[in-house]
Amino acid sequence: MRIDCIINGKNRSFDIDPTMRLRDMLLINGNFAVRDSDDCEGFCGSDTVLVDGTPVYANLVLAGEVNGCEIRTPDGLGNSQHLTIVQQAMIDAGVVQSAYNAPAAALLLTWLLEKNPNPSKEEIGKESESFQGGDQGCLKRNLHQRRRL
Amino acid sequence: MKLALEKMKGGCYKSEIAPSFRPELEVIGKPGAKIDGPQLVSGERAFVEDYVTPDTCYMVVLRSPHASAYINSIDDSEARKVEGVIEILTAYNTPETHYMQAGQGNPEPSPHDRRLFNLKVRHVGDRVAAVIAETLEAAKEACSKIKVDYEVLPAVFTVEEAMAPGAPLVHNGIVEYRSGAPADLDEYNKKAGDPREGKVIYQFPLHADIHKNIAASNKGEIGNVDEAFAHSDAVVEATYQTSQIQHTPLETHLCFAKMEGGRLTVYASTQVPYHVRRIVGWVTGLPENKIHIIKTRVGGGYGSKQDILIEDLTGYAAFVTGRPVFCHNTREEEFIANSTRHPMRVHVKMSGNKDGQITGIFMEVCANTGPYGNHCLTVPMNSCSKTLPLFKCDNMRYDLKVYYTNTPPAGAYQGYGTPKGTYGLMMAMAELADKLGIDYKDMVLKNHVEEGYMLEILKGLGEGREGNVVPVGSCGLDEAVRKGCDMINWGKKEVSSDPDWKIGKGFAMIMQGSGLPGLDHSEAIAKLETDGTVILNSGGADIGTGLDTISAKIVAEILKLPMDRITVNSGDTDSCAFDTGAYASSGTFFSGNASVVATRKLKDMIIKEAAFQMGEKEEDLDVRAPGEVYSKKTGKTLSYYELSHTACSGTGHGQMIAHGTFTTAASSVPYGAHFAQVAVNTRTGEIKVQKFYALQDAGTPINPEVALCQMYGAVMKSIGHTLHEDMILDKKGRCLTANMTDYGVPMISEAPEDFKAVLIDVNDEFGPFGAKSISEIACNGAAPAIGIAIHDACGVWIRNWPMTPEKVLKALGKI
Repeated sequence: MRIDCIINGKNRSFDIDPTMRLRDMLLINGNFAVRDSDDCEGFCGSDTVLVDGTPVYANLVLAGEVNGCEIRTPDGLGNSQHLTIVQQAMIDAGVVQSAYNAPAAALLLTWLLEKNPNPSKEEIGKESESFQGGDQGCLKRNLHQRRRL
Repeated sequence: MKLALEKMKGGCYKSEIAPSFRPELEVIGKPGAKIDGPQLVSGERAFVEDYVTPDTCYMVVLRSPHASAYINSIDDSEARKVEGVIEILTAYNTPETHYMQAGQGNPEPSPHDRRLFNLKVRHVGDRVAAVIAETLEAAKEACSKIKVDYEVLPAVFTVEEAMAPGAPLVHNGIVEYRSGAPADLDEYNKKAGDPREGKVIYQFPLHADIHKNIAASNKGEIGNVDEAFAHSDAVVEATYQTSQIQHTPLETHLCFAKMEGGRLTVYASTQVPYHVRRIVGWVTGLPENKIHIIKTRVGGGYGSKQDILIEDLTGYAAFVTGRPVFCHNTREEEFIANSTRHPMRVHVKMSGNKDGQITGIFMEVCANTGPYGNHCLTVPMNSCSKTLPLFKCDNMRYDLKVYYTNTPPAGAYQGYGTPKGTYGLMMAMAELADKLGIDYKDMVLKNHVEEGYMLEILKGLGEGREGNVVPVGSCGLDEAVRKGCDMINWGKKEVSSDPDWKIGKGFAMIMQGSGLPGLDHSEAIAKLETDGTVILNSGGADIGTGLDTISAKIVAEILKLPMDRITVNSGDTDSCAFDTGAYASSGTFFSGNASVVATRKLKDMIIKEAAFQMGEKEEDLDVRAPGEVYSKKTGKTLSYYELSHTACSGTGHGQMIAHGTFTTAASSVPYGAHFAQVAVNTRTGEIKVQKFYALQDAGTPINPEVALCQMYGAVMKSIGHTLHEDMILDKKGRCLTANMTDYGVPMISEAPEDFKAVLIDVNDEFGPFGAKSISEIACNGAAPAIGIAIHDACGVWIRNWPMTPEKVLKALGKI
């Protein structure tokens, strides 16, 4: 199936199986900072991308679903020579450590600020629950009621 | 977010990012951009998976469904017919070389008790075969077509089962010693079982007895503990149990290896590049000059990447096939076939007098090392050697035994045994204070060590050799305890408006080390390039903790160079010199000190060459910003650019390159105290950590903002261990919680409402610019602090982590 979409502002076309995971399609496109930390479980958020302005786990979206959509990936923010304010602030705050999903966190925080330029602490916490921060360990989503026995 | 918003609105940060230390220094002790930050945050190529080439083959491992079984036969004929399959590796076509996967100093204090593939599988998830194929799909399909005939054996999963008379033996093969073999070894080996058991080879005696499932043991005493117990006002005795937990790095273990020009190149996400090279060399038979380890950025280590868990097999696969091979663990494999924290049973007996003086301490540690002995001696020893030296007590005894079982393997994990020993000892001290009717804070203040106190207990606690008896060095322990007590209003009872919720407070003293004196070894090579910039080749392994930034700051500070004129290249075994690696909290102290030695030598070379070029005396010259030599006598200057350019002009003395080696017998111990305020719902058993204050003496925090985040991260991890995380095994040894959703890492909603990390300012005599370690120690305090706070809240001692609502309700007698 032919998939036409916009990735980080550029028109892209793929002739691929529409049941392919969106992450795999993005890897073909070279967006390798869309990573997998949880066997596609939708827990850690390392595979976060924006589809038409909405954060999704790229491992839980099929390529066929993004036909005609606009996609933003973590590497579509600033590059290492020209960082965005959010990326630079993350480094300055000391939270970029092992950083396996720091790019995805930067994307999510950027999206949050674009949506709401004056977020409260609670709003930041709520939105970042879709993440597991490896070093800070405090950004994780409670998708299911967890076993606590 | 706060910083970004401030910059967006006002063009600059208004908040203080982190405190600064050492005003006399330019960059050390100041918050500043982590040098690998831009690469990492922008999603540039950084991790192993980013370097995999399109022609790469994939490797998938077939794993044992049984906790213990002999392999009778393996039929891979159908699997080999799958299109794209290159090779299938099993015990039948791989070397019989016995080794172990712990990345420790050589000779290791761990037994060589495994091969690449064994003919006896010892845990669910143990390697049975590996398929190398041109696609991942082909490798998986071929794996599913391998037929294995197992002879299933009985298994043991706990230390109690392992120590029981007549228990099934995890290892029952031939025992060998590289040194120190006992006189009766031949007699001992007559009891060896089936040849498929393989061998257990000790580099030196670990006081083991595989016929009792004992992988290692140790014991020692100072003073007379029994005498102390007999003549004290009160004695408490309790057992504290910890669960099996996993590191859960966001980047699961992975490796990419390829042959090029007769050499094996391995891209590794590792804490120990040089140990990887040595062990890959052992299994392939290649000498070290034929192996090139490239440590990429590491997406989370926490000790699990101190072990060579995937590089051995991937390196071997690339070597025998001649094809580039990539292997990437699934999350399930991380849990069942990787490494975990050793589950431990810590039995403590402690005595004291009415004046609060602790008179005697006995620790009995029983640890579960799983099927193989990675770190089997040293992790449990750390539960004693990094806890007992907190106490000024003349009578102390420890007795530790480590058992083989058929659980998923255990290994190194941030804290390295200390979190469990600290849990037992601090809880016992709180129980003793409670029994004596003494304020726990007063007891802590009366019994903690201080600078100069001679640590006799360390004599028997070396890592496989006699330990160094040293006095306590720089020590911020007292300040951490007093400051934390003030912060949390120690002694003030908090009351909830909801009668179901009871609030309590607790804290724990903590310590760790800064590497292993007498064992660890670091090197660095500092090069002045022809334009006056510097490249530092550090053997150290930055695993995200900021070690490369520390090395860059050291160069900047000594040579007075701007940070952007310094590049740190680290963990590459071809271009850098030997370093034992990033473990035992050694990075800052050892690798940082090697950078200091190399850079000071380079400075000496610069001064000497400048004296020649300037026609001045060396003693009249010094360096200054932005990278030049100046004469205090004549006022003349010479830039590093001019200096180096002339030296490399064809008629000069050549490039200035300095090599620094750092080893030491000195011990720089970080101290601290962690405080918790918890609320316990006595109707539901729910526990909320309302406040957590982590106060630590890290010497000079070279990267203060990174250091603070290391503390926050480690505390969150240890809150997870304390309250939630647990690898639950069924009766056949299968892990029921081998995914992120079921396992139980803490969520953002479970972060303490009031969460502070505080750096106690202490300047250490031996550390680079006074620095000590920061991260591992931060894993040690949460369990006892929360456990003691739970008792303060509702009067029950939870002596088993994770401290779940169910355990609280049981202790309260409600279920």
